[in-house]
Amino acid sequence: MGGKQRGNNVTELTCIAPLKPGGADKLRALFAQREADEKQGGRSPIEQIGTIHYARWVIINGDKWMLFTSNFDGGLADYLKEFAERDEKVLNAIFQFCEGWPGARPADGFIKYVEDHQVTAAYYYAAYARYTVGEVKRALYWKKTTEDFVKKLGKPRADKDQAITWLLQELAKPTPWPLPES
Amino acid sequence: MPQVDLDQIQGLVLREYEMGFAKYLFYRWDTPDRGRRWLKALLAQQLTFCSPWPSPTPEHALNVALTFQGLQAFGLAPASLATFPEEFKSGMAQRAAIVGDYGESAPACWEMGWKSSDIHAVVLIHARSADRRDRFASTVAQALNDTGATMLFEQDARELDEGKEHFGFKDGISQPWVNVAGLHSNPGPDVMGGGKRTKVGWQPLEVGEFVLGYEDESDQVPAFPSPVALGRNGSYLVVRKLGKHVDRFNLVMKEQAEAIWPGDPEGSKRLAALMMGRGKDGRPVDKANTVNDFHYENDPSGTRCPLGAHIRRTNLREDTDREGSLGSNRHRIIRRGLHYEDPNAGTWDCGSMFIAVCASISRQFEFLQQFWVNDGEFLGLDRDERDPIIGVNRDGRDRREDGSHPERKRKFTMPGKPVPFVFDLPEFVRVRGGGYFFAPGRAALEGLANGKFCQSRANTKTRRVKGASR
Repeated sequence: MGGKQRGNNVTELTCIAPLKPGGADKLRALFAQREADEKQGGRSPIEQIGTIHYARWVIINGDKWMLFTSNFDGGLADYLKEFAERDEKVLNAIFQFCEGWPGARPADGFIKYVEDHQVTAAYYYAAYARYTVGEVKRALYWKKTTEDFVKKLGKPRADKDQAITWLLQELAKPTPWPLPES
Repeated sequence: MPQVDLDQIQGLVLREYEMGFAKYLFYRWDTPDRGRRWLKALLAQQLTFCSPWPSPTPEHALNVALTFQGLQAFGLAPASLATFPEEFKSGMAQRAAIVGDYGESAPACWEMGWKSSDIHAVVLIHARSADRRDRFASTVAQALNDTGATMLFEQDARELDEGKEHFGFKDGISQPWVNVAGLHSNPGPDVMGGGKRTKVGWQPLEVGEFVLGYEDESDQVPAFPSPVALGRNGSYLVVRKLGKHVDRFNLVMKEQAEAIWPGDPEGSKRLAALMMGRGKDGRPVDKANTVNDFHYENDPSGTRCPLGAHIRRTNLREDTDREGSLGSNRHRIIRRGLHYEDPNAGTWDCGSMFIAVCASISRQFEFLQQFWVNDGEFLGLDRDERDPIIGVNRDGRDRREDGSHPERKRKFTMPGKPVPFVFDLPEFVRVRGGGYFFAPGRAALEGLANGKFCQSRANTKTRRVKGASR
């Protein structure tokens, strides 16, 4: 299956699908709604899939085509299966405006559709290709926690032992996301 | 409840045998004729199906499962072979990168018999005593001897004292609760706790999660091998020989516990329990009064049962909003294994003959291995936090130029404990061999024994004529 991979981890997907007549406007409205919702603090349903670094949908060529690109951890087959399993509604809401869309489930039809419309990148670069979304988030959480620890130590009459205990217990927690404000 | 053809489904798939002694015989044959003779001889020994047992219950049970090579060796029609899933066609050794069988667990290091791709079939014999098993096995082996098929090797397994496995934990406590009438009369809470958790409490899992041709948890009958008579009522068996290093396990528990709870004689026991998620007596770490009727809803960060504990990561018991845990009902397996002891086999001379029953090897067993056992990210923890008991110390991404993988030791996180981390865990379990098998239903077995499902010349012609007349 197509899509280039870097660092034995991150993979690119570029998918170009024809839009149905009038599909472009409906799609724009759908994404405008999504952006408005997220401005109000709503979470993107894409978050459900913990392996996606970036994803974008672009309407191109005089409203005739939809370009979908994504950068994700692991192989394409696993990614698509997970996408279909986790975000069936989201996929259908977007791709329903494309010609020949078979529906997100069963996954086999969806995978075939993406493969049929996929174009492999001529060149693919990633700055931290080996590192997964989970590792990046975890590292940022540990960085923030460590900073908070150092701040605690810097306070007058800081209790070092207490601060160390606090640090260990904080580091042991599963990564909260988004990171809490300090 | 759905209508389930219990008399068509092999007994091992859905029925708890409660037989403590097993022998697995591995076979191959060279021509379809020999294969058919072999299968006919086997069927003459009375295979065990899921239909209700007479009273008194039988003293032994007999089952069979085939590899993809085995199906090919029956001369199965290519069009039919093509309908089997990719992972089954490839076999476990070819899927090592997904299953996580790296390093010393890699297929190149497996025991001789498992290393070859020669295995066509496994005959599974269960009995209530070692004597009974051995006598029945020799009857079966004799009957199969005259068919021209070759027995490649055999493997014994048994239940250990007090139902424990070699690290000393009580084994086989939780099994999926399956929606089939007559399997469990009046299921108690500990049976129901193996089901799926819903707003109205525990519910049984659909039988299609374990048997082909039935609705599964997606409310659909997923595609299965064709023709229908071949695929329906079949099931996949994942068989793995898992060697355990008991001395190393005990030593590491002792050393690590000393760093967490210095001078505490109960420390190593406590640490082992946190890694398993259960004490050696089988009790969940934070529930004293139930062994299986529990969930983790009130313990989201793992202060009572660590997120990465073996029983928690391999059975989430609910869908949470954390990625990777949605659809948790879609990755369950029935476990049918027992334990082995090979004298004179060196350090990894004992362990489990692990057998998992499922309807999709990739969606169930392989997913479980790849994402739940050998990863920590779905828990919101580090990637090298893998299953503390059965996890592997390699990562597919750390590939060297020569294709090998350097060791990357596992860590384990226990929020709320005085020192909440254990670093540098060595491997306690090593894969000695394994394979993917298909356990066909009764009609499929009878068909295979009688040369059905094959593409003879006559068959091809008839089909062409039919096609032309349309």
